[in-house]
Amino acid sequence: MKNVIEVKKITKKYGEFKALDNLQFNVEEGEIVGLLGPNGSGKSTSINCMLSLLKFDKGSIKIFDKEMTPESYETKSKIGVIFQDVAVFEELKVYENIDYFCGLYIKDKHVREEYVEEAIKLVGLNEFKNHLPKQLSGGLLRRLNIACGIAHKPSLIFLDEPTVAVDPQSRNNILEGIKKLNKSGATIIYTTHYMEEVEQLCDRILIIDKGKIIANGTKEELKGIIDIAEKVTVEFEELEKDYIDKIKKQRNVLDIDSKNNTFKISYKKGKNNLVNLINFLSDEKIKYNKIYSELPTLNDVFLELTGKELRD
Amino acid sequence: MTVFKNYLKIVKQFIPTMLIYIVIFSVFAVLASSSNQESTDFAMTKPNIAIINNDSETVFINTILYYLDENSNIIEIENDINKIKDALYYNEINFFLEIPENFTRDFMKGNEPQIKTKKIPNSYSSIYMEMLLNRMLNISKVYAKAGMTEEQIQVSIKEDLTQESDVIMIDSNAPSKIRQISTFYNFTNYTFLALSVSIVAMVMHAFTSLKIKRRNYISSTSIKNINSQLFMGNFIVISLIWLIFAVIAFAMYGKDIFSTQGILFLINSFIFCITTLSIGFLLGITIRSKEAINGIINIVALGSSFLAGAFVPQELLGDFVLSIARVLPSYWFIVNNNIIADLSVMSFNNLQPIIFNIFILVGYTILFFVLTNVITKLRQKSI
Repeated sequence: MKNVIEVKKITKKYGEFKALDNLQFNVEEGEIVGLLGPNGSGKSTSINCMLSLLKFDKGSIKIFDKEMTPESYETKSKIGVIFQDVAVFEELKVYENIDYFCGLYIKDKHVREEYVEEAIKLVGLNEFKNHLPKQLSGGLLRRLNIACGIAHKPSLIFLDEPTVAVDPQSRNNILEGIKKLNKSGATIIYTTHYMEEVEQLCDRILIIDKGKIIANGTKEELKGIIDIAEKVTVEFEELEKDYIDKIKKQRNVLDIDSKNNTFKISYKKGKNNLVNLINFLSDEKIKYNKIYSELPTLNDVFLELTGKELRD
Repeated sequence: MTVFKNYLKIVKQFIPTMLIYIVIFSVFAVLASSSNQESTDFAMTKPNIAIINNDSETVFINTILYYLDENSNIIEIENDINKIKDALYYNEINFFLEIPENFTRDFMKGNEPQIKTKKIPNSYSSIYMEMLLNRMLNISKVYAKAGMTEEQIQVSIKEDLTQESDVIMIDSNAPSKIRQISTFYNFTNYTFLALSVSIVAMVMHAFTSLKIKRRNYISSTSIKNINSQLFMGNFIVISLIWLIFAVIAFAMYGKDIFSTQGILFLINSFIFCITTLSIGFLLGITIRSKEAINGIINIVALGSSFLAGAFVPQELLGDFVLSIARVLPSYWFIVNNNIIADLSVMSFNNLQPIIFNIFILVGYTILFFVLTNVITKLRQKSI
């Protein structure tokens, strides 16, 4: 596959603070790449550098095999961006807004009409064409924001947390839309705080922290690089401290985290962890209300790699 | 031309506001300029006064009464202090005087007997009457000191009253219509500022808000292209506003608007419109809240209109106010309107101050554009 984005050893400094520190990664054509990182990790800075909205101190960025500069209008014509903040004209109606932003790329009136209609259909805003943005709900506004960013049919799309504060119906609609765009050939860079979205959408995930890529791979590959292989949650009626120590000493147990009478036991790779725990509790006649096992999530990966929750 | 088309779409929303401004200020301008018309009838009015005479009917008392009668309407009133106060309160009389006993005797002896007076506070008529009375008594005192008898004083006072002075109005010879056009354009100072600045500022605010700007910046249309389309939109809107007021001026004052002075008014107002465009540009780009923009526009439009003499003639404003107003573009626009109205002979010498003031307006325009550019450049670093 051909690389659509090539980021090579980018460094961006604000005084002494390094917002990006030798950041390097590639994005292949047709991929949906999730860019994950805690607040202040450098996600937005890296996107702004890729879009030439920010100058960087060292390194190079190539998009569609061409060095990206503020004057790269040909490259820009193939890029669509959906920023986190809704960026539309309050004074223009839904159709007019999409038409305006599409018009910055597509000059032919007939082609533009067709594209605008398609974008409206894609985000499900048919009924709201003649509404002003202030007449739309938060979810519909987000959809309009997306339509404005993709109406010109870009082949590379940056989506910066497009589903923040969106109702479930609109979120599904947006995610479906993104999948459709990807199926039609668009490469997508997606940043979000929602793990389930990343798991559902992304072919590959880049975890960024302190301006560096600290993990790069598919969700399975990322889950494979951390120590936790399984998490068992047990809700006890009562548990004496001695038993906690005994559980800690069991095979494969990495850590125990407790809150009231609920204990989360993390296990490293190994077989029959749940069965072993149930047997131990039966032997010791320890009563419990419920017990269940989960595989590690991306949040666990994130937590282990960055020491922070994704939403921190 | 997407940017330009959308610029006009946004401007369309200001049409109702525009119409309201145009109607209201046209009415005000008509009223103001019609009040500036030459008055053809003059009616002299006399204040109403009441007199109680406690002296006997001497020749001197008759002289006083004759003098007062010539300058006022003497109203019969009962010698009751409450009724006199009521008459003053209800403006039936403007001035009351009570001549004490033996006033003539004491006055002619060179003493200073006092005439009791009552007047309406802060009334021009009352002050005027008091002034007339004092003047008459002072003159009489001089005559009496010179040894004149009561009869001689009477003759002299009557003679004095027959003297008339010629009053010459020291004012320009400007034809009334030109004066009216000048008043009309002075009034447009507020309308141009309120309307042009608010439209330009609001549309520029919409186009240059950080979120929209980022979208524009990442698009395949160059910023230069977007800016030139925005400038074209602004220029057309400003020209349209100027044209509307030119048409209104034509409708009101007919072909006088195409006289040399009329054309100078048009040129001066067009230059001022461009200045308002630059102010709108500056506000729209630098102020990030719509509410703040509206507030500032009100302060700028009303403040500079009052200070610079758009509503009140500059001649009536104090030196301090005018010295503050000199820093405002409105001041130079209005000064120019006044100079144009006073122009009697078209010569380069007479046109020089107008051209100079136009250069000041152009200077302001350049200053505001440069300021906007500097702020934009500084902000561009933080897109």
